[in-house]
Amino acid sequence: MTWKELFLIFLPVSLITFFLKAFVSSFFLFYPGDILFALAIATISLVNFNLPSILFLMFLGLLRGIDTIRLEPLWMFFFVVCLYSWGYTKRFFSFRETKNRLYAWLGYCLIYGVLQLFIYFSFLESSLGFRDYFIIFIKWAWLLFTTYLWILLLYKVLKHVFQT
Amino acid sequence: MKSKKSWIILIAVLFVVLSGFWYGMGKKSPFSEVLGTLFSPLYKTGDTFGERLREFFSNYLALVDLKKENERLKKELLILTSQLNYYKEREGLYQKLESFFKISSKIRYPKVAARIIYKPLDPYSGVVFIDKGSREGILPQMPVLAEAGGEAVALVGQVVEVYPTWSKVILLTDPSFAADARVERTGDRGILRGKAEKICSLEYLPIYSRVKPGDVVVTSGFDELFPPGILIGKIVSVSRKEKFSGVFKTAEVEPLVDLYKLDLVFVLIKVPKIPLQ
Repeated sequence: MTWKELFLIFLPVSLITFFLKAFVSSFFLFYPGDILFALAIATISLVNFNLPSILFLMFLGLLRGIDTIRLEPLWMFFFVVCLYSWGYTKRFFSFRETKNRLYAWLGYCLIYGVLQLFIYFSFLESSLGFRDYFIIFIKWAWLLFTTYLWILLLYKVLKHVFQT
Repeated sequence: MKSKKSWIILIAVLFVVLSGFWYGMGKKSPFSEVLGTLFSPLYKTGDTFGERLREFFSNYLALVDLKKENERLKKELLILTSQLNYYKEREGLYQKLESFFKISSKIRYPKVAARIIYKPLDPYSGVVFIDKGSREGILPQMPVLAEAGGEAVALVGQVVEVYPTWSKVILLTDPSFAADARVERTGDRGILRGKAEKICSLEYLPIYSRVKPGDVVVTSGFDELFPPGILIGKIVSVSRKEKFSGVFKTAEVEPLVDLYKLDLVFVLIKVPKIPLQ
């Protein structure tokens, strides 16, 4: 990612995505999946590990962390780790092949889901029953499914914009 | 040739003299009559055409003016409609505020009305943003209330982060929320906790407690965070959790306020007695 790409492509797209997230939440009154995380994954699939991309991922992490209570640094760190790990694993897997990329995205989604559960249970002090665990699982599956769909969509959009 | 020319001149003079007599008797010019007779259809056609054309242009210009007038009126109507909507919205807001202040008159703390500006709807938390902050005197830990069905006010959450113009509020359903609560009918106390679902848990109720579904849960006031007697919700089920070796009962509480449809909330300006660490 160059500075020019950062300011002309990625920052505007991230702001539109943030607006979309707020709009979809308030319009449909249900959780639309983690659009910002999806944008982060779509971004790391297209760019290299350098200063503009690190700053952009930190910015996305900050936007993602706003929804939480004092977890902004954690999300910034997580997004940058995602960026670094993608660049690292690129040496061993050919992410140019669509199949590999799809599996990699699924892997990242699962890691993200585990992190979400970890945060949830670390804050939770209430005792849970079977019904609660079942609802948590359903919500988790929905979250990962919708987020994965957003990754597919945003990757298409970003790739198109990036190439033109 | 000469005689022919003389004849022509004679006829012409005769014609002029005769026309003079004609004009003298009937006060009409024969030339005009002839010309008029000959050209009248043309005049009529031209006149009608001109008149029609003038009417057309005059109507067209009038229509253009009318169209402009119509557009101006439409714009005015649009502005007035939007103003009406604005005033209707304000009226609705004032009615809500009036209703809230009427039914919350027993709560002696000052209140600040705030609008929800962002609802992330995160599946594992319950955080909303409000449009009032430290400039309005809001501090962390202050209770947040909302109107419940136009008849009562109920607790919906607590302020956690405050910025000059906005604040973050955790709702009752957030996993990090906890409040000392009391069942109104029996007086049994417990700890109300969120679990990122529509219902909350009321834990550590005494084993002998006779709470049942439908009982109203209010704040006890013992935690020094929430004033006593503020409505929270209704019990929907009661169970005995094995986790606590059968010493305590746990109840599930449904908040009185629909937290998904929150738009206007009220922050109680109650300075926390236990400062935030």
